[in-house]
Amino acid sequence: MTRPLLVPLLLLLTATAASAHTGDAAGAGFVTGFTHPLLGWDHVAAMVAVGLWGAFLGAPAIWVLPVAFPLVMALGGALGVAGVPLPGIETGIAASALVIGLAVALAARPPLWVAAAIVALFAVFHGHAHGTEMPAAADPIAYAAGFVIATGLLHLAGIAFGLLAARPAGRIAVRAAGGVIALGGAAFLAGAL
Amino acid sequence: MKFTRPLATAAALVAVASPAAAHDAFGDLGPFYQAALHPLADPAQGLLLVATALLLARQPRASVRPAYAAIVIAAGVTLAAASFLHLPAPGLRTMAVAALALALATLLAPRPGPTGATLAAALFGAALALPLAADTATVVPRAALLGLIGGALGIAIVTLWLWGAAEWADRRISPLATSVAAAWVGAIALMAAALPA
Repeated sequence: MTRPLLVPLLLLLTATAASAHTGDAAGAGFVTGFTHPLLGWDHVAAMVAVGLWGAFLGAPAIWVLPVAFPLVMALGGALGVAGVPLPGIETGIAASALVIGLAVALAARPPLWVAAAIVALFAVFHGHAHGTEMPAAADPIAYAAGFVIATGLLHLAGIAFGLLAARPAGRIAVRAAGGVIALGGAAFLAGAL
Repeated sequence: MKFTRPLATAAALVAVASPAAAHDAFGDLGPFYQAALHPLADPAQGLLLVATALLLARQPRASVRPAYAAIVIAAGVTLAAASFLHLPAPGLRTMAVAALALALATLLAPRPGPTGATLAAALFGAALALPLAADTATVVPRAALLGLIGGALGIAIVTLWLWGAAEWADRRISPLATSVAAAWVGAIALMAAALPA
């Protein structure tokens, strides 16, 4: 009784469909790209901090920063795709959380162009990290769409929380959140996280 | 003979374990639906469609009406001409650069008026149709005709739907919504343009 059952089972094991699901490439590309910024705490902290700072600074920074960031990030991503090396990527990403988090915690209000330049500088590091890791086997446009949308949604989350700064208690909460992000950035820099 | 039954059972079970349904997202829908759904299956064409819709959402409705008609007519004419002449599909980089230009134009928010918008829209419509034309080119006249009708209809419906969504967000949520979306599209297009040809 055992043998008749074993033979089909052994043959079934050879009938695996693992290499046949080529239709999943587009989905895997988007999901991989979408989860890339979400699964790295350094990315999450920095992106939320950008949104927080934009909301904290008010108009026009509230929309200039989230609009400028993806475009400059894509420039960094293009450098990564092209294989152009950029030194200190991880350091730059960790420093972005520290610097922007500190700016929120200290309620820094530099001129708009200075804030935009700081955010743009760090955006290049984030973009390069995403672009370099763009998997060749996946759909690259879907991957890019995934990480750009995830990054944008993190900005929006930061902006939504940052709008609390319109109230006195909310202002304290937003600055405290900036402090927590800055501490996280320092820990990333030190290699503790 | 002793192993006939187990082998037959194995063969039946292996046949049941076939991955046949997993190979194609849409399956064989025929030339009409295949062409109509092309914008949803081709990321480069989809990106250009979204960018076009965002730019349209920034225009007054008096400009959008003739511009939309121009897109549909230009797409239909280009589909027919490109299929007949067997023109090659534009490369990914060309499509990405076009989408990037449209996204930047949306951020700069030009308002060229009905005539300018119509002329520009005719160009976009032609560009939208080119990648589809190469995919639907066939020697079978009936299939080619169905592909042309489906392709033009698909571009018309998807553009209208995306424009409606973008304009709704522009008016009901904030004009910033289209700016943010244009920045996202521009970023994706820039990355796509950097990909090796």
